[in-house]
Amino acid sequence: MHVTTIIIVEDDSSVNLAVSRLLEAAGFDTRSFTSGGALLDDQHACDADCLVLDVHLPDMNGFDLQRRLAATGFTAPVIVITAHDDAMHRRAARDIGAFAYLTKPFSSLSLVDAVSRAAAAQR
Amino acid sequence: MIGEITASVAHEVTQPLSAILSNVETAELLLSQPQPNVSMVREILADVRQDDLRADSIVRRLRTLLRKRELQLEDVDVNALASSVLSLVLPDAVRRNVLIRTSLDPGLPRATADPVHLQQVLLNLVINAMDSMKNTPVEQRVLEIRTERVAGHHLTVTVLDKGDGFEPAKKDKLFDSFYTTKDEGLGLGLSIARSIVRLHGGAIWAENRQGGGAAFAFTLPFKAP
Repeated sequence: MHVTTIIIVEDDSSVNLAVSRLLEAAGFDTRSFTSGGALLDDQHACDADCLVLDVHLPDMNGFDLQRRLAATGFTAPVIVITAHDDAMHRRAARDIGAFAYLTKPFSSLSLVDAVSRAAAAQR
Repeated sequence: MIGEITASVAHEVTQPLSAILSNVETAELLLSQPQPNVSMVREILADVRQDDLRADSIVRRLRTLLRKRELQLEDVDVNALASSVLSLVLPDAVRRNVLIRTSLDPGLPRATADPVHLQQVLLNLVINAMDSMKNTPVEQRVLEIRTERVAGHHLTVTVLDKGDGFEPAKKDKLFDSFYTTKDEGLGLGLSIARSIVRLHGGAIWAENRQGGGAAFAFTLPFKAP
């Protein structure tokens, strides 16, 4: 049986842990990163079924990270999460073809639903 | 600037709030299972407590920043203060093709006010006024500051624009925290401005202007001569 693996890139350790717990409780496997560089260095990044990506990262913004991942052949759908919702971020999320855009604090249902649909679309 | 401080604080406080919501909903999910993982729920509750305290400390920090200076009341030449705010925003006004006019009452008494806080209020109103005129034809983009003495021991400062005005039904909401009509605003500027004006014993309000645009005015007390 295929285990759905979700990558979480979020620099706030509380949010990272909370999102990871939620998705694990909902039946997904998760792998957490707190910076863009850490994910780029990971050899298995491309194996993920979905990426939950924070916009504000310490070393780069989430949109740049997605572009760099895409250049390495990463094709999994991306769910953008942000604490700072504005027109520019929404546009940037559209530009990278984000599967969903969620503003913190988001309901667990909306994240689990987005991740489930994104992972299903990927398979 | 107040706007920058609040933007940063709002971003920071959203993180623990977001973590709390996810954690609580995860705990609910776990507890709905036939054999709940109680030790995980306990771990979650400890983190919820931590994040709650974290949010509280962020809010306390904002309060400290805003109260950094207790009101230091002095006799303030409001006309001079208005002119200094206008000279601060002049480069921005030129860039936005906004013409600035003043109508300053030469007989205006000095207000009893904290000049730093007062400058923040005026700056906020002036920047809002310029923001409101981004869709106004260039030749009509006029911002005006008026000062005048009113009945009793008060003076009034009014910032007038030729922007979009506001929906009359929303008039009561304009000064509420987190109410904004801007794409990228947080909706705290006018709420903080109102707090500052009230701390001074004044009042602040807004009116739509006949012929378009809005007028934001506030009063300040002055000492009887």
